[in-house]
Amino acid sequence: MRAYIGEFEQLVLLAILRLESGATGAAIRATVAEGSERTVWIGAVHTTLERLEAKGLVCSTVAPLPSARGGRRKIYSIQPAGREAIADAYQTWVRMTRGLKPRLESP
Amino acid sequence: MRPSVAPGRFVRWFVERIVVARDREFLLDDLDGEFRARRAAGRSATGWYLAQAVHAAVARRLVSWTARAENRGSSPMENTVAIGHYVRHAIRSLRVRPAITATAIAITALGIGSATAVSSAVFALLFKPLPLPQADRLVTGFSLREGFDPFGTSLLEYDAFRARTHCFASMGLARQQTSTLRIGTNTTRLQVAAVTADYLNTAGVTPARGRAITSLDDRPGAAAVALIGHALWERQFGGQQDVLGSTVFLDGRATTVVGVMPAGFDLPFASEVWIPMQIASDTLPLEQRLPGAYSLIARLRAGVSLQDANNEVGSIARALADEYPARRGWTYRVIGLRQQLVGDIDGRITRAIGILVAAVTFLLAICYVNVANLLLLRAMDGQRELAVRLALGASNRRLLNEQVAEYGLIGLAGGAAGALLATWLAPLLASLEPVSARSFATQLTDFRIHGVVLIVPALMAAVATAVFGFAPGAGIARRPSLALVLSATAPRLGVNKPQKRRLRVMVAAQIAVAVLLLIGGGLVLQSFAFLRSAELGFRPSGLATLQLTLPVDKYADHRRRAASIDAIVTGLRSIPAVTAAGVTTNIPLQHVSFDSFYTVEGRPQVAANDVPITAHRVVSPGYLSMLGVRLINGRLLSASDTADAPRVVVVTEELAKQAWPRQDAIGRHIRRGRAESTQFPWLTVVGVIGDVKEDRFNFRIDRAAWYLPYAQESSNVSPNVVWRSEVDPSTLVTAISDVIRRVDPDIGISALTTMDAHVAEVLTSERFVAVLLAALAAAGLALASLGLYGAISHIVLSQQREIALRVAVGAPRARVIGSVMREVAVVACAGVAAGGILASVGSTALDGILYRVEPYDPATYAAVAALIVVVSSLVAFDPVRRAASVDPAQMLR
Repeated sequence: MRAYIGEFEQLVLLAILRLESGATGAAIRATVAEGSERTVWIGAVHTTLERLEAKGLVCSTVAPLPSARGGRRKIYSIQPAGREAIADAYQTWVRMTRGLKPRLESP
Repeated sequence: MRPSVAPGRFVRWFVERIVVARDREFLLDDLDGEFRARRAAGRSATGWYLAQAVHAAVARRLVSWTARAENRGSSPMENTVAIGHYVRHAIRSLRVRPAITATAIAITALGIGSATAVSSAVFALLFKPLPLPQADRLVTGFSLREGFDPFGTSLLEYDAFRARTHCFASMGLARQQTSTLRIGTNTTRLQVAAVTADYLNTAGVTPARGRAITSLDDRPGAAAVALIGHALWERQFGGQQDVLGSTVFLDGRATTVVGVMPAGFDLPFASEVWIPMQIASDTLPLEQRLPGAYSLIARLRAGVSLQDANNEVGSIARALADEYPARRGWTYRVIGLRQQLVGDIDGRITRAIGILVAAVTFLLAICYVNVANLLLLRAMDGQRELAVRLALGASNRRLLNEQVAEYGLIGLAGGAAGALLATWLAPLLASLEPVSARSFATQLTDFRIHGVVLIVPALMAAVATAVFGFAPGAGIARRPSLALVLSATAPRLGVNKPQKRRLRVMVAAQIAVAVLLLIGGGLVLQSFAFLRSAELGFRPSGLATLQLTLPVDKYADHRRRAASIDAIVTGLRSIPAVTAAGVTTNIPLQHVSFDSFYTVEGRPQVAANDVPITAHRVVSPGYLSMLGVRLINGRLLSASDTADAPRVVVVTEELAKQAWPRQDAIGRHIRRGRAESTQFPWLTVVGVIGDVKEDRFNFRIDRAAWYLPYAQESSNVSPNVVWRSEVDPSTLVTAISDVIRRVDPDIGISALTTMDAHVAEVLTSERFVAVLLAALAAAGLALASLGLYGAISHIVLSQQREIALRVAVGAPRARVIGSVMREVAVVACAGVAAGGILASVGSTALDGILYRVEPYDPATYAAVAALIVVVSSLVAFDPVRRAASVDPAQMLR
């Protein structure tokens, strides 16, 4: 059974895909905000990432910060299950929108 | 200048404090990164940074608390958040089935609303503090004689109490009178209390303006002074400050106003003016000290109970009976002032109120069980969802919490709606006039919801939640199996055996309580019907009455009184719309009654205490025939019974029976007073009439009464004019006033009322109880029917497959319907049986309230049982018939 993912989860997964290796929380938040043209809260992003991680759709690695201050940062990457889930969602989207283009774009 | 790469130190410090510990590292790093990027891009950063941090702090905390609260209860803050989550879930879930939710809330509101309204009434009548200091220590008292109206206090008793009691801190006496008050040219009739100097002190009230009545004012011969009521002050003096010291004329006597009483005070007898009594009782002859014409008020000493006080005054009354032969057979009883104010001299009203409280509690119980029933049905429909969620790993605790939140919301909404409903119901109760209070009436019948009473709906909402949650909540613990619920062979709506049993028990319980209410209501209603149709001995319809006040000094001579009365009656008869008119010292069922001892010629007094009493009425000729009494033997009084004619009397059947058992009373002799007192002449009985309900307090029994001609019997009591007419009595007031004014303009008129209204007022409290109990019983029956309908529809629907199968294999529909109806009958009969047993225990409480109906009246029990059987068959038949008429092919496909 494929995991069901909500809309915000989809957006977060797409952002990770887009960011490839640099998917920090901040980068994901900025990408989603930019792409969806809405206010995105960092707290919500972290909560969603935790949930996706719990579902096994993404994983995170901890890397040391490049600055002299020390500390670490989390980099997220997508798991095969996550890739499958987002592809699935995309296919659904494509199927459901097929032939609707003129109607969706008309005013 | 390079832009700063980090937010200010304080901002950073603040944000570190507010975010969740596990977020401090990664989330803050993300925020810092973006902060730098925004700064570099020249965009505002600090505000954004703070907003994001605060949002994250709150949102992430909510997430972790909700997660943790599912496993265990945590800090209050965490619980609040978790509750918020459950409440949101509950609202969503309740909105899925709006009809059930609305019904559940409405029924809860009905129960809680009626309970709150009744609580409010009980609070106002029995508990709300009177506007007097320590009013619960105030008592009043009555002289009692077996079988008669309680009498007021006599001067003899008052003096004895003052000299010999220890349980009262202080006491005072008042006498009621209706007087004419003249201010300038303006004349009004009003209630006046002549009080001893201690009366108002004992009540604990001091004038709002001016001074109190002192013992100097109370001495015989002292100057005439008066205190006036607040309302009178505003009405007649326009609330002027200079009222003190002004002169008014009270029954023609110049009186100085020395004070104004505080607003709302009208003790005793709804008085508007208080004057000193100015009686030196020790100088009066014994005859004047004996009449129980006064109203006592006393304040119990701290630590003294009502029982102690009763023991003490009881022994004093016994001592008085020994000292004075005239007091033989008399006792004295002290009751709380409040009890007297609500007219509850014999405790009947308190008992009736107790029954109402019980009835409304039972109605509330039906409401609760009804809603629980409804929610159980709803939970059964939700089995599938429950099983799925359990299978997906939802914790028992979470599901239970969700349900508790749902039921809590219904309870809360029902409680709030009930409190609202009560604000509308309570004035409705007040408009039923539960008691005929004479003083502090506005306070006692102000049933508006008091703050204290709001505890009731709040408490009941909490109880409701617990009751509602009990039945369906148990379903979760049983953990319905997913496989079973989802299997194709499972009934469309899951009703398993234990649930079905629970449903049946709940329906039977509702029926049982409804039966209890119906039996109680039925008994009280019948009793009320008997009371209403009780043989009055006269025809009240078409009669109207008003009271005359003859100026005392002008009418000292009885012949003069009789002449004026005669002139008034003649004048009234000349009014075209008046068909008959007459005058009496007391109209039937008047608040204050005059009684007389009587002595039968030739019958020796057997026991010292055997002093018979009769209601004493002095009436004009034609009064009895106008009243519509039933003449049994002899004649009524006539115009020929003049002052110079032989002295005659008309007696009631009861008096004739007491005086001359199994003998003809006509021509026999009887006289006023005891055997040893000979000041009254012998009277010859000229007529015997059917019993007339003269005695208000002993309405339920027939008391002896006699009627003497006004011309022959001296009486200085304010006479009442009574007339019979075919038109609305209020249209005749001017014509009647004109007649009276023509006879003597100084005669005062008051208390105009129709006899119908006057008689109806006697049964005020009985009507209140009967109407309310009937309403509660009807609501109980309706709710129980609703519960039965819901349960039967559900059971039948869940058995549809089985029914269809049976019809398909050839069972006649009638037999299928019969088998389900049998199930209904079992539940209904169980309910009726349980209710009957409850009622047979509970109806003993109605003893003493019922009139001519036995608490175990078999007809009532049978009628209620039949009613329940009929109603439940009607209610159940429709769903059963529908189920049986379904096409089996369609059902089994």
